Parts: sequence; C-alpha cells; structure tokens
Amino acid sequence: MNRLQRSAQRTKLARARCQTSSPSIRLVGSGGYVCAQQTTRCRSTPGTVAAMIIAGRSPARHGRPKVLLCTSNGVGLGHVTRMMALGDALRPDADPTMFTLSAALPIPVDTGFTVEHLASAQHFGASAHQWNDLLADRLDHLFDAYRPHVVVFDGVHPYAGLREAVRQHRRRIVSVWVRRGMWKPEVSVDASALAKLGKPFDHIVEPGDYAESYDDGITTRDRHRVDRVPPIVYSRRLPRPPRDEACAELGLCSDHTNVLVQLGAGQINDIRSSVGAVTAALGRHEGVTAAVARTVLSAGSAGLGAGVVEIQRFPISHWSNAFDAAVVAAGYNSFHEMMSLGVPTVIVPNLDTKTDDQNARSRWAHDQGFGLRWDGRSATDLESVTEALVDPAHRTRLQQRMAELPIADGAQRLADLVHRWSA
Amino acid sequence: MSDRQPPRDAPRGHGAYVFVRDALPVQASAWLTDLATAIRHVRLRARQTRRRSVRRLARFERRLRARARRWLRRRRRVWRWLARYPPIRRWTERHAPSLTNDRDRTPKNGRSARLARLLIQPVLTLPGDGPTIALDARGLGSDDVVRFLDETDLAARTIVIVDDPNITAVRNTTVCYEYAPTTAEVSAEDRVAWIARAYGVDRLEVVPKPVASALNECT
Repeated sequence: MNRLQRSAQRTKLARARCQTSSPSIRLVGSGGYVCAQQTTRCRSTPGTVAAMIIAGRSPARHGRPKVLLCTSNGVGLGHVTRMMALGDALRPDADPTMFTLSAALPIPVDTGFTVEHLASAQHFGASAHQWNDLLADRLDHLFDAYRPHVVVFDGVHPYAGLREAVRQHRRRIVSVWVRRGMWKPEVSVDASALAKLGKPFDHIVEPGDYAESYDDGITTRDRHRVDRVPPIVYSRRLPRPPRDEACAELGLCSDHTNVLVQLGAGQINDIRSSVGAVTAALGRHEGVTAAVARTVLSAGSAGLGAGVVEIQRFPISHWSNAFDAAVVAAGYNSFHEMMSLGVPTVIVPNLDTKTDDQNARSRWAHDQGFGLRWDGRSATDLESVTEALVDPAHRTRLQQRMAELPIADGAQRLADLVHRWSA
Repeated sequence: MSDRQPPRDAPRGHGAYVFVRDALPVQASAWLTDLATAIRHVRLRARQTRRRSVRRLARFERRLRARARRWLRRRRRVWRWLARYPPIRRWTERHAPSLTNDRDRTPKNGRSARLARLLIQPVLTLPGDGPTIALDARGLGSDDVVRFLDETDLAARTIVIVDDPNITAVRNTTVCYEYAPTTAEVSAEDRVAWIARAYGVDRLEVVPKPVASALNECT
C-alpha cells in the first residue's frame, strides 16, 4: 500500500467516524448546525467537534436554509426586483430575508418578505468610511440574529462594509454577488479592480441579458469566473388576470389600444418632459389610451393630461394582459419584463445612468427587430415610433420576433444554485 | 572585410582632444579613470540613499496603516464582544445607562460611567453638536411621524426610529432615521440596543401618539 492509498483509507475511516457520530455532533452544535467538513481532521469526540464548530469550520445546515438577500440602493427597482424574484423562487424550500438600502421598502414588505433597511451614506451626512463601519456592524448584527447560510448581494458595487462583514463570516456563510452585466465601456473600473471587488465572495453570478451580444463593458472580460443564469424577471406566482378583468382593475377600457408608459423612477433624469411628450404623441391617435405607471420611487405626479390613466401597481407585468403595447425605459427590469411577456415596446434609453448601458440594450432591440427605439429627444422620431406602435400589423411582427426569445427563468436557476451552495 | 567601417577622409589626431591628450602627463590616464570611478560611486551612493529612504518611508507608512487597521479591528471586536456578552452589557447598562435603551435611570458621570463610555463608542457619529437623541416613533404611521417632525424643534443629532415601511416621506425630511420592525429573529429591545450603541445615543425619547391614533387603538 503506497502513501496515497494509505491517505485515502485514512480519509474513508475518518468520514465513517463522522457519519456514525453525527447524533452527538447535533447535540453539541447550536442553531441546528452539524459537522459536515468530513476530512481526516474529523474526530468523534464531542469536545473536538465542539471546538471545530466554535472555530466555525464550515458547519453544514440542518433543515431549511436561511438566505439573506442584500440589495444596494440603486436608482430604480432593478436590484430589489431581482432579489424579490430570487426570494420568491427560494420560498418553497428556504427562508429568505431581505436587507436593502433602497427606499422601495414597501414593495417587498407588501409581498410578505421580512425586510431590514439601512439608509445610505448620503442620508447620514457621514463619511463613506464611517458609514461603511456602520454597515459592517449592522450586517454583523443581522448575521448573528438571522444566522443565514447564504448571503446574496445584488448591486454594481459591493460596499466596503459589506465586503468586510462577508470576509469576517466567510467560514460560516456562503456569499454570492449577483452582478448585472451591460456596463458602459467608459466606466472607470479596470479588470484588477473588478477582481478585487469580487474577491470576498465565494460565487459571482451574472444574470443574463437578452442584449448581451451588444455588451462591451468590463464584465465581459471577467466571464470566465462567473456563473451565468438566464435573465431574471419578477412575476407573481399567480395566474395573470384576463384582459377584461385587468382593464377593469386598472381603470382602462378593454376596447381601446392601451399603451403602458413606464420611463423609470425619475431619479436620474427629468422624465416628466419625456412622459408628457409620449402621452401627447399617443393622444393624437384615435382609440389609444396611455397608462402611466408610477412606483414608490417616482417623483410626484407628472401633471398628466386628460385621457391619461395613472397606475401604481407592482409588478406591472401581472396586469400585462391589459396592455397592447408599451413605452418603457431600457433598464434591466422593464426591458426584460416586456421582452419576455411579448409586449410590443418602444424602448427609451436613459443615457444618464452611471453604469447601465441602456443605449446598447435599446440599440440591440431596434437592430434585431425585437422592439422600437426612441432616443428621448427627437420629436419626429417619436411620431414615427408611436405610429408604428399603434399599427396592429407592426405589433404582430414584433410579437412574432419576441416569441423566439428564450424563457427568462433565471430566478429559478439562481435559486437552484443557492440551494446547491447552501447544502 | 565588407562589414568594416569605410576609411576616414582625414587621418586621426586632428581634433582638439589631441592637444589635451598630448598636454596631459602619462599617468593622467589612470587619474582620470579614478576620478570618473569616484564620481560614479558618489552618484551611486546618492541614488541608493534616496531609494532606501523612499523605501523606508513607504514601509513606515504601510506599517502605520496596518497598525491602524489592526487597532480598528480590535476595537470593533471589543465593541461586538461587549455588546454580546451579557454581564458586561448589564454592567454598562448600570453604569452608563445613557448608552442603552433604559430610560428610567438617571445617567451617571462617575468613573465607571466614563470607562463604559470609553469602551463602548458609537460606530457612526451623527453630524452636528450636542447630545444624540433617539426618537422612538414606532407604532406611528409615516404621516404622523412627518407631522411631528415638522412641528418639533429637533436637536442637531437626532435619529428617528420608525417601523412603518413607507419611509419615503420620512426620508424627504432629511432627518436621520432607522427602520426597526419587530421580527421573530430580532426583538424590539435588541434593535434599540443596537441603535443606541451604533449611534452613541445619549437619550431616548418616545414620540407621543396623536389623539386620533390613540382613540383608534382604544376603540
């Protein structure tokens, strides 16, 4: 028997010892933790196992995994929505809790999530260093209180406080960074900085983007070390109401051509003028009703004209049967919702975003024939795209093209990955 | 032969250096060599000294930063340990009640209180001067909270504790706030204790419930 064989035999014996002694380990471990690091270091004596558990050597979970879903502040609802989609997919077999910096707090609370919140640094008037200390301390407190097995962070930039908290609990908690692609090429983050940001995390996941062939950002150079899933879209786990019912609930006429207008949260650029222009252009067509969607993050009422309906529902995709077409911002959430549901859409890129390359996304849709594009400025372009949008034949062509897109079931795929990592 | 230099047009020895060479004594060649070597050595020493000092400065700075980081980590560890360990927490509650949510006791300024304050420092100090006051507005709707904040003359360092998820209105008042819902995992006391420690709260005040809300509760 050579050295390798002897080592293998020792490992096998140690594993057997661990398995036979699992009841005593369960008694020792608090919080439902059991010994899972089945290596040659495992010993069946309770004292040694207790020492291992106290030392935090990767104890495996016992029962339903607890997942803490963290989101950054963001300017829209993209991060929160993606985490809600993941939370919904996890719910049957896990206990998700949300921790968000976003003001869109009522949305996950209304859907039954336990939500924790911390205001962002600007709100405290504190330095970034102080706020990161606060964030690290808060997360430390939450990790102790909720004892999550997996922490999933959705955001472009993992904060220093988050990275420190994750680093400190690395032995006990699996950490995942959900990093959306489609970064603008001019974003001043190089490959080494990106690698440094992702270093504390055990896994990096990139939610898919239908327009990824137009992605020219820095994240494309880091794809070899990420797990990729299809696009993540949030939808209720209830059947969508039929058109008549949806129209009645939203105050729309089911005989009209109803066009959803959703141009973002209005935190980056002034969307009021854009909304006004779109609703005015749609109002010039006979039998067309514009329905302007507002979220909790939206600025005050856009001063809508007569005949324009204002709706405040979430997720708007649940009532998609009420709409024949849409004019939406090219953010990840709205774009993928409309594309996956097959709603003929005019995509309006917001060119003032910091990292999200909405222009590329809208160009892809326009070039590939999946949607129409309006740059948000030219009045003549707006006239032509609204004319195309209210044309039933054109809408049918767009719908046929969108039917070719793959299913956006990224949330379920990510949930499966989280289950695998938490085991 | 083809790779050799072409012959000069004029014979060697017609430049000014020829006169200098001829004017110098025979042993000058060795002197010049020594002089050049000496100059080179001086320059080398100067360069080495400069680089060494730069290296030392960088090392010094690196060590200072590492020490600061280590100190900060230790301090945080002490805070966390103090917050978790019940006897110490009880001791601080007794000797420095202003650091905790126990508002029935009178704050003490004795030696033990000062020591407790030294041990438990706020993670984030709110901007402004004066004591840090936590306003407990849990159980109130965001409209009531905003109304109270508008009507009240707040201290510079004030943090409002709310449990209504509609925080947009409270955010718009630009007052610092903490969303503190009661969950199965985190009790209300635990949450307030964390807020008191994190922000170094000196005094906890409860926002009175408006008459309408109180009546609704009664009925």
